[in-house]
Amino acid sequence: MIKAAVIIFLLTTNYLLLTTYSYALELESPRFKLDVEKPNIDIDKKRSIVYTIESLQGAQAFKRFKSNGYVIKSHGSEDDLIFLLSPSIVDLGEISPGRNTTGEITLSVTSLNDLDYNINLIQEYPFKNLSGDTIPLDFLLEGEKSYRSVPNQNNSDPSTVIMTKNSDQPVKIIFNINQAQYQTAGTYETVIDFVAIPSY
Amino acid sequence: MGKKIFIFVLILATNYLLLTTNVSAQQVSFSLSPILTELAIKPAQSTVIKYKLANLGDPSIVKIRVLPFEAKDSVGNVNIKNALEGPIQFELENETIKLEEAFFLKNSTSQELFLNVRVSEGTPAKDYYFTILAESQPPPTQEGVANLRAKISVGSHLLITVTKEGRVEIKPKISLFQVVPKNKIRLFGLQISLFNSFDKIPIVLLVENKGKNLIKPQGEIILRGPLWYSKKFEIKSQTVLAESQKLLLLDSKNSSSNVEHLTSNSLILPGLFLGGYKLSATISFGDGTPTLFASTSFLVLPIKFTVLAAFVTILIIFLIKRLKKNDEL
Repeated sequence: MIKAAVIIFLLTTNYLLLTTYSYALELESPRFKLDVEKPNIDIDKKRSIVYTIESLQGAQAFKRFKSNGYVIKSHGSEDDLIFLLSPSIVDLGEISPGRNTTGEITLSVTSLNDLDYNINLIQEYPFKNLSGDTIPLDFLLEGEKSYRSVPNQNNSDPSTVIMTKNSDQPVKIIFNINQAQYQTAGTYETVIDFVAIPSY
Repeated sequence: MGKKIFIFVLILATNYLLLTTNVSAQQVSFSLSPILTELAIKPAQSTVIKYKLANLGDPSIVKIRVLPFEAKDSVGNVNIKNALEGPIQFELENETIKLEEAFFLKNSTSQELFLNVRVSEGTPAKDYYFTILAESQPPPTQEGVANLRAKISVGSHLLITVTKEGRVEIKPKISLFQVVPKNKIRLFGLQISLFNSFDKIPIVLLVENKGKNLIKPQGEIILRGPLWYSKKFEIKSQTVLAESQKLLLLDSKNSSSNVEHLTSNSLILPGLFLGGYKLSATISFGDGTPTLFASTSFLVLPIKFTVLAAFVTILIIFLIKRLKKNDEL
């Protein structure tokens, strides 16, 4: 008797915990039973249904399109995304062979209305002097442990995302140059692009 | 003598204050609005879109550029091309400002920009995507030292749909909807996604746009579990560009600030205790457009607790047996 009760108890517990309830309402149509099909359902290619911009932008927009030949929809308000960088020039001092030198740039973004955005970083050409002697340029974001190479547009490197919507605090970027033992003294420079792009 | 020195010091101090300028680290700050513009236009038509560029930093030299872009990945990153191409022409209608030509913008001022967009006759009906970039010019090089010159660009996307009669192609597909489990088990030919109790549950929902025009999926994900448990998550309207895929993001507050983490999941569910759960996604694309459904399921079990409990039970049984053996001796 006890054995039977234990078995019934275990079966009931398993049933309650391991089953989920299926509702016809879940699919908003009591006549469909879609679970029998594969979950990824394509649109039937044989049916030729014509959609217009009314489906995407509404009847008023479609009316304006027909009368003007165009319709414009702008998103976001003024000063939705304010991008600030400081300083715009970083002095890494005189070249001193065999020494590492670092410099900092601070970025901050003020984003209203919970806007999605990305900030990318890339250097336009290698860090070099007029003779073409180059020095490897690395960077890290404050809080990171190791340096990464700055991507180079000349090498067709993709730009690196350094800041997103979730980085609501200013970001400090630390640049580092490793000067070789035989490094020639003089003026060395490069241009670093910081590109702020809101999401589409 | 004292009077002479005093006058000399006064002249030097006055000269210093009047004739020198402070060399300070320059601050660059821009804002470009609107941040996104959608334009549906017929071939052989033109229109003007108004932008506003505000300079909130130090005085700057600025250049306006229009460049085409394409989707780079499934999380909304774009690949901006280096040169303008295609059948759509752009021109600034401002008197003094031209595209690709630098102009001076004082601090704390803003400049209205009137961008003329002209679509040539015979332009194929499809989508064309561009980014309007306001680009600062880098400061001049400092001689004799090593220096990094930084410049900023603020972008605003312009999504153009060229269509003769307003027709658009809506061809969506849910290419992936699943949980990302740490453990998977095969049982009677079925693959079961297994999570330990209270482990976070990452969900991936990827929508593919196979059409020639952008689509705007929106909808919901419903989580159902044991004992009539049910929770709804809203999918807000998001743009998926033509012939591309996009990971739909649900509640970004649940996402980590880590970029890598954010790029891989649509939603991270908080840890659940026990039972079998089912996720159903419903996505629509506007009035009269098709609705897509997808579902997936997973199992949550107290794996770590069970292993610990089994170990403790075995240990207790072993100890009891050993004590009994000692008593017998």
